Amino acid sequence: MAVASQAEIQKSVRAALKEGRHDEAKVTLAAALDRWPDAYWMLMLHAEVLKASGDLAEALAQLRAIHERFPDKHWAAQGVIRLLFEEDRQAEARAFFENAVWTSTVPDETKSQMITALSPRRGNLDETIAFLGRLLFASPGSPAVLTRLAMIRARQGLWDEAVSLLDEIAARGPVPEHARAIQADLLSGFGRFPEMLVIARELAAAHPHRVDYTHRVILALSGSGDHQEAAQVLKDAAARWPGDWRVLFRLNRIVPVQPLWDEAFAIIEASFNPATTYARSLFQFAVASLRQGKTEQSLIALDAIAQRGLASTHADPLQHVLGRFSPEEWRARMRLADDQTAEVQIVGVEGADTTIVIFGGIDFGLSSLPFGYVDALLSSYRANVVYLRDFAFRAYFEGISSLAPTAEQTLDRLREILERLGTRRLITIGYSVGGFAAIRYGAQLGAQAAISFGAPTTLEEEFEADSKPGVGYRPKALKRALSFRLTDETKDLVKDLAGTSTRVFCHYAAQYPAEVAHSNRLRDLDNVELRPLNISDHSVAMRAIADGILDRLLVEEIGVPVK
Amino acid sequence: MHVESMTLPVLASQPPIERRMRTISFRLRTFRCILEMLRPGIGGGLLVDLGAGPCLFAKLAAKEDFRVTAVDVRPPWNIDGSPLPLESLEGIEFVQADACKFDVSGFDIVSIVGLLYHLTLDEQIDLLTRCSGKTVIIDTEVFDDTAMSESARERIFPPADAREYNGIDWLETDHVWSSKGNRYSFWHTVPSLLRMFENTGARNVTMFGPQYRSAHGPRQWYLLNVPDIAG
Ligand SMILES: C[S@@+](CC[C@H](N)C(=O)[O-])C[C@H]1O[C@@H](n2cnc3c(N)ncnc32)[C@H](O)[C@@H]1O
Repeated sequence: MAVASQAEIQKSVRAALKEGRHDEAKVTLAAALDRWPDAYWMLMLHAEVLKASGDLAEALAQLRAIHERFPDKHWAAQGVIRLLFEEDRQAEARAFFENAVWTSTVPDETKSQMITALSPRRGNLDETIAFLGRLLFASPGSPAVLTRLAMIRARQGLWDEAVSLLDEIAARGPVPEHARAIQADLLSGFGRFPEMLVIARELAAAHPHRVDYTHRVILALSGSGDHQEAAQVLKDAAARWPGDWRVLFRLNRIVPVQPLWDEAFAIIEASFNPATTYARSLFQFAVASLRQGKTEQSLIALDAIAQRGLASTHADPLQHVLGRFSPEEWRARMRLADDQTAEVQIVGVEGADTTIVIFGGIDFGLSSLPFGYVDALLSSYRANVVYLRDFAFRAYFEGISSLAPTAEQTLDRLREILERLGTRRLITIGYSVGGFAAIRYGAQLGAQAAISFGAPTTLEEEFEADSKPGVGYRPKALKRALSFRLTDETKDLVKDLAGTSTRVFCHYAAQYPAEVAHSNRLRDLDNVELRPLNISDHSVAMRAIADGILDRLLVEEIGVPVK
Repeated sequence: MHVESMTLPVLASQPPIERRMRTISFRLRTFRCILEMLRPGIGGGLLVDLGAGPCLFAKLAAKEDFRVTAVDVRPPWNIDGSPLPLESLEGIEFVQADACKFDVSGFDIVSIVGLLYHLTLDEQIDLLTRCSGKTVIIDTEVFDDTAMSESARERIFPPADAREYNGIDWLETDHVWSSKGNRYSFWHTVPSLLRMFENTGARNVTMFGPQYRSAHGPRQWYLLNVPDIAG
């Protein structure tokens, strides 16, 4: 009888294992090990047999012994870690990795994969960070560890630290590609748009089919103030991914440079099909249509959302508000040809001594309602209206660039406008960050009333309310992006309100912890009225309009005359 | 082995519902395009769909006039994870069995859709070897270090025994859509996957574009041994 080779024996042991004949596998293997007591893969197979037959402790001991005998080969060490990991013995797995693998000659890619598996972004992150810290201590500057640490810091919301870790990696060499998208997002949170742009462009060039990378390019261009190119890239993206919600979302949030902006919308519109469009895109499409003055088309999109039975915190109240008039009546009531490219638009009313100033928010309207529609609603009042947008995306902290270069001078320009309109009484209104501006500018301009909806009251990003998850927006990211150039004193609205006579009507969602916490900061001020609405998301402005709360406030409490 | 790339006229759609449904819809339309290339003559081609799960692909093949046997190690389930009543499987035959042991020799076409990456490397090699010469439709996750999602990264392990192949070991869960019980399955890189096709006897491979993404990373469709190209 021919003598079986090692390979043949291994094959037959594997076959026996596969069919559950563990004892037979053990016998065959024992004989082979007598003959080749030092054969690495035969020893490894022994561990495999032990594991397959449920003898985990023995399998582990065997693997450890192999690793001690053959420290240059990493398979046994890897086997130990995997076994421990499978048994949820994470601490032991980490300890073994630190002692036996980290400083060994195991290939870098293998180490890096293991580090990731051994440091998940859930569970006890303090222990995870301590583990990574120990690895760094043994090999300072390791890109694999720094990257992992950055990912975990980002997950914890400790962005400063995440960014400086990534900067540290970048200073030593290339940042691993998988971390680059996250790096780009973090940089945007710090207003470092030109750096973000470099990364986003590289990612988009390397992966032209990834709409999320192109989305980041547009965001970075906008943030860098290159609105022309942002609109161009957006238009190209619209042609490639016409129904993608990110493209529509960007369409609603970039500075509308014409004719590119209208052209991009036309491309999207041409292939729009309410039956096949993704719900999130439908909402963005509805808003974009309104900005083009296309009420009927917007209603079709909103209807499609409703018909699918999807409750949508933003679409429902928008649909409700639009239902107030027929499309013809909306058109008839609008006194303003809503110019999306204008930062300032004024509607003067003969004989009015009240002026309402609306601070447009991140999508340049009052919540999702574009100014044309806001104006149709306000047309029943004897009041002038001034509509503002901030194309610098700074929530008006740096003024309105088409009025003046600074906030100070912008206030002067606004005073002139108000005077020209014959203003004896001023009311400011804004939603979200626009609400913050409405309160701040209102106080400075001596407004009788400032009306805010879901507005933050401090841009101090460490303010704890923001770490709680909310629906629909990431207040922390937004505030960080807005406020990175502000001094600490100018981040807090409480200081603005002390000693002013402006009455603040602060509307917020009673079941949205972040909004509650922000609003509560104003609770002790005499001139502030807190107005909770019984909702749990960031849609308080649209709800207040839909439910007539804003109208009642203006007429019954503030006394704005009705025509 | 002859390798060819082909872009299917399937748009990555923005269909009604959420991401998971969108992906399924895209995959079904891709599958239909591939089936159209293989349309059976009278009597119907015998197709076995391995790892059939909710049997959406099996049903689609039946609608396209194939005679379909669906095989899964689990009883059929709905996409929400609940059990699927057998009577809803009219028109196809369902067999509860391990694909690694199921005899595929009597079939003309083997479809391995959403299954290959739930098998160990040995099982993959063994299954494809048993399929060699047949027309095989494959839809699978592939490993690309630059394109995996962050959550996927935490389930990736260096391979215990990859031999001449490249890829990673993927930590399985115990969901209905996962492996039959193996804790790890093997995910190839694209070149490694092609090498495995070649080593297990494929004469030609068509790779279908566009590559698309799951929650984990890139995925791709392949067709092995298209009859007319095989010539
Ligand atoms: C991700 S699901 C794919 C389902 C369906 N083919 C699809 O693509 O939508 C994987 C399916 O493969 C099945 N499966 C996993 N390992 C199997 C095996 N060894 N034999 C048969 N089915 C298996 C699972 O039960 C599960 O239903």
